[in-house]
Amino acid sequence: MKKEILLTLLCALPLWAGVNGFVETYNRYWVNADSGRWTWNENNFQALFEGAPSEKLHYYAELRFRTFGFPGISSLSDLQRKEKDRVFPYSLELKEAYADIYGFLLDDLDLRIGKQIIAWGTADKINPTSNLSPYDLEDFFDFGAKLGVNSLKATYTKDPWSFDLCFVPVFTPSTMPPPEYADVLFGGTGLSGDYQIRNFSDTIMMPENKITEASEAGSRVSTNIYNWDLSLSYFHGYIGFPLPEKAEMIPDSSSGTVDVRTFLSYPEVDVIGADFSGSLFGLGFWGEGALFVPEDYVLTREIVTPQGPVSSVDTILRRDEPYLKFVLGSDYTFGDGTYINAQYIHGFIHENGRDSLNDYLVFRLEKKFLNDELKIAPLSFAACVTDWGEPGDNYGFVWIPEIEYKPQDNIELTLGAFVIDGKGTGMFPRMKEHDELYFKTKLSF
Amino acid sequence: MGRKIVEEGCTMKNSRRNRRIIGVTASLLFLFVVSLTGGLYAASAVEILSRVDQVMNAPKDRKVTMKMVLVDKNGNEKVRIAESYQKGDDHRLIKFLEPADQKGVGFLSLPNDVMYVYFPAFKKVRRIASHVKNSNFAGTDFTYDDLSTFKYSEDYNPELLEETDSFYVLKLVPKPGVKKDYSFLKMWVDKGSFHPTKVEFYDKSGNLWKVLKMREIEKIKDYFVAREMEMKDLKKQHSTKMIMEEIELDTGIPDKIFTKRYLRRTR
Repeated sequence: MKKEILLTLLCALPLWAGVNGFVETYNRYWVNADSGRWTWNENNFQALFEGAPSEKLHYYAELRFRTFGFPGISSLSDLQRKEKDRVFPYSLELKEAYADIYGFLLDDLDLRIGKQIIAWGTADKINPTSNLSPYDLEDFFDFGAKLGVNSLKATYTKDPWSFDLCFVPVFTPSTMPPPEYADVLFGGTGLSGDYQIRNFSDTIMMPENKITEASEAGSRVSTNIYNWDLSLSYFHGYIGFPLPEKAEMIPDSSSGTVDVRTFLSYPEVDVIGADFSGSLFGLGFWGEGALFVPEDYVLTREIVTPQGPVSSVDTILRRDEPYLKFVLGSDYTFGDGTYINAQYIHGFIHENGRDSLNDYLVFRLEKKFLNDELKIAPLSFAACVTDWGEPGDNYGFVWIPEIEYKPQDNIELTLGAFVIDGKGTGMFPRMKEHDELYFKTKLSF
Repeated sequence: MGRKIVEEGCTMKNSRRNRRIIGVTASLLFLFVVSLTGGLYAASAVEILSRVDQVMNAPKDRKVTMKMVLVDKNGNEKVRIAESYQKGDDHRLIKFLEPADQKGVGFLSLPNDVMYVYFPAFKKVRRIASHVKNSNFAGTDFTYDDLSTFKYSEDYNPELLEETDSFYVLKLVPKPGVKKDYSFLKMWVDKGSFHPTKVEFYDKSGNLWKVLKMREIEKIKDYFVAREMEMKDLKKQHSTKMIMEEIELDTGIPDKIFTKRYLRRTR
């Protein structure tokens, strides 16, 4: 019923708001699965509502209505549901909805209130200084995507200076990839030891909705000195990915297996960030670094019998040692229009803790043809070496060749592939069986 | 006799010396006249280009709603609508209003080649380096450089090629150290208004590459403004017509419009 009301509202909104948006389909095919397999089937109708009731007011809302996934039919009753949600799994999501008040109290003070994506940093897609909005890792290959977060952002500008103050009342966690990609980012549970796990359950413990527990805050100051954009930032809040805090192992002596119950929570962190961007000898340069100052994070493992816990071992999962994640990048456009962009990344989005940071090189070469109607990116990849002592056994890469064709304005057809290989225990070797082809269409209105 | 011979010899010597002096003087005079004339022409070309810059950048500020019509070699058209704000000769902000997939995309050009773009989908203002200056902007035939504001006389050395009843024809060669994709430009300047009416852009091999035509030059307030500009890329056989639909001059656009804060705003 709620969905129907929202849909009615969705249809009525264009009557009073400026509306744009797009219709998009996205399909992926897993090439090296047994005989191949469709892995992604997404159809989006995304509406962007935007308006300015007065010169000092502005609003924006982005609604996504989509069918996502495959028919989940297991019985006749699934086919008989009038919602048809087992045939076409669908969802409605308010991605952003915020109000802007320009010149609030002071001429140079702007407020943005509501669900919004707060994007800090100068690097492309990977921004270690940007921690207020959680990651949306639903589609792992779209790494760097962010979710809107309910927040208040105040920006005071006195050119060339700009000061941001952000407050997030309630921490919102990052979303995770679907089950078939679940181990890609974080590997296995690592909890079983010598036992075979029979049942596994997890419970995530969120911070309490108190200002002292669940709230996050950040501030940023930016300026331009000698034609270089510079900024400093500070964030206090949570890392968006949960860590196990307690693991209960309940052995079953008859079968030699264990049932594992894990309790996960979100570690608190302070982040001091800095970034720059500018131009030198015609090349674009940018850099971004974030010093993460975590607290000790202890995992308690308990062996539990019907009589209660019989043993308990504490392991420090993450020490309170600061660690630095950073990105350095450069880009250039050649005379014939060929564009290259390279970034060196120390610490991917999900890597946290001094010992878990890896080095990545992300590179993209693209060239446009036919008056920008056709864009080809034959050389686009991310590569990583997880152990420089034995790089031959500890490497990985994903190659993403892509062709994008825009036969006319507002329509975009994209064909591409993810070709993955590697050795060792890194993120890419864990994905190497996931070579996929993808096809997207997007029509904007 | 011997003295006479000596005297005659002296006279002959003097005569030869005098002829040499006259010759040298005449040569110097000729060189002086030539160099003076050449200098006058050079000064004139510099002056003409300086007047062009003055005319092109005369309004203190301007707000323009422009329609860009992109036409490919088959005659297919694409339309973009944008708002442009310009202040002085080195501050410019352009915001796309149409088509839908480019709505909200913005471009800010500030002095010293400081340029930013804003793509609403990324929620971030991105600094762009000077390497993009010679790339086409948003599929048009205008480069970022063409759309940034600049003074021709700061980037080019002028030479007066021809003067007709109606036009000065200048050849503009990039100054040493100024990176352009063009080896030189030929510019037709209207004698009455000092507004360019046509500019030809020649590639590094000296071949004609692009032609810019400025039409419907009107006097609005006290300024000459071209209501229509057409850039034709002869290699791609593609053209972009820029039609100024609404022009507001000297309205006192505040400096704060030319900031990243306003680049992010939709309107």
